[in-house]
Amino acid sequence: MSKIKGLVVLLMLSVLSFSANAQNTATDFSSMNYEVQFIRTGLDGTILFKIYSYGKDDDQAIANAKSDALKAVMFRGIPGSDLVGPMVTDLAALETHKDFFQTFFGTQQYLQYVSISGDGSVDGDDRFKVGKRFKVGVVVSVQKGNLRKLLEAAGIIRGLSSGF
Amino acid sequence: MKKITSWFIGTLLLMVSANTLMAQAAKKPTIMVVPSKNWCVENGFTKTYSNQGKTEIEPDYEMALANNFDLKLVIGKINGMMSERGFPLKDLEASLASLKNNAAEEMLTASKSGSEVSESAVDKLKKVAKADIIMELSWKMNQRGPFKSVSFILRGLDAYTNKQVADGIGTGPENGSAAVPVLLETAVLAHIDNFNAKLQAHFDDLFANGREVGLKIRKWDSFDGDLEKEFDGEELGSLIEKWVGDNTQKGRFSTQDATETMMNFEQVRIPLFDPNGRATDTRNWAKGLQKWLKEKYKIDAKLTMKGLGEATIIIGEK
Repeated sequence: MSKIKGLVVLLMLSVLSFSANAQNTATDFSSMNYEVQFIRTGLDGTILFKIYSYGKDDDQAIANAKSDALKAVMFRGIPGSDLVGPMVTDLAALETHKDFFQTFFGTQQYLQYVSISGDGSVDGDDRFKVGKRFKVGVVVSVQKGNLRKLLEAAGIIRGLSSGF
Repeated sequence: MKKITSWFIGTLLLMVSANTLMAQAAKKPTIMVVPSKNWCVENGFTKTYSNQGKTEIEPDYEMALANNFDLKLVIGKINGMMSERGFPLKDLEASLASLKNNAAEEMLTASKSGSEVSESAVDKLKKVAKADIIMELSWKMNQRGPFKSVSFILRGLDAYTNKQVADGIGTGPENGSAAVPVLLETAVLAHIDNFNAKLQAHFDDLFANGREVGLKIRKWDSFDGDLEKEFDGEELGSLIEKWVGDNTQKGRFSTQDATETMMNFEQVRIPLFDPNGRATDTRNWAKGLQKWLKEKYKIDAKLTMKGLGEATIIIGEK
């Protein structure tokens, strides 16, 4: 009986894992399945970089690229850029400010802080099939200045002048 | 009786909350951008003076600001970005003007005290501007055929210790069409966030471990005795060392040198606030030692400052 139970749990986990790979990763804000490549720092508090994201098709992968781009800026940093380290240095904030991140990603509030550069079409060289998933690379522009202000106001990160 | 008791408790609570509020209002560090000595030398903005027969070169900030548009542009850009982060910068030009106004007064003070402490022009500027952090800036234009790029160095120096606490260094991408001001603006944008991240780490360290300063103890020839003279069965030097230990954040300091006539303390981490919750600085902190020597052992002492972060107490007389 316990063997059957174990098999059921295993089966459920596999299904969940498959759906997590294929679904919109915006809802799973701790998912870090993406790669980034810095391009340049833009004017007016923006940063431009290429992000490679996954999805069950091109459209899903491009949609995931936007939320992944914000996760990269907030939780990982962009190597080679002026944001080498992540904005949110204490990853415990993912738990302590869970409500904020659920609203931010869940209600698509994050779309105010990111845009795909160009017309949104994906170059042939930036499109790959990985197993049953698609991986696409798009150039995104993230409004890091405004994002920082939002995170400071929410008390997730400290402002440079806080404490003084 | 009940009324009196509740009135007393209410007043007490008010006093406690007022004190807490006061304690929370911290002194925000001031920041000033200055061009580096290297940049001033490369661009010919220097002045020379004779220091005991030896010719010394010093940056001429006033000439640099009056003649170099790019410098003003970069300082303006950094100022704008720091203001956005809640840190408006101390204006270098205004500080230079204050320095000029204070020059005659400074000379008078020096002769009156008879102090032998000498200060460089940069130390004097720091003293007048009272900037806690100096953002030292330099850049160089590189040209390869039609392509130009900017190598940019931004260093954050703690004015108290001259230690580097933050930096933003790098060479931007080559560009064949952008004008120099645009390249410089891009260079500032490309480095300021990393610089600020390191500055934030420095501020966190300040809050946790206190501000790092230096303290020197000297004695006048007129002082009857030396640092080995005993008070309450203990040598004066040891008593001073104990006071420093008791009045530093987490007791952090190191005695670099100690003889019967002098003591040098380094990496002295003084708290950002005094026991009353007021923001303090090296001078105020060292005044505590001066007062303690007078009150406890009836020893007069003179306090002199070098820059913002080095206090010297000369015991024996004022």
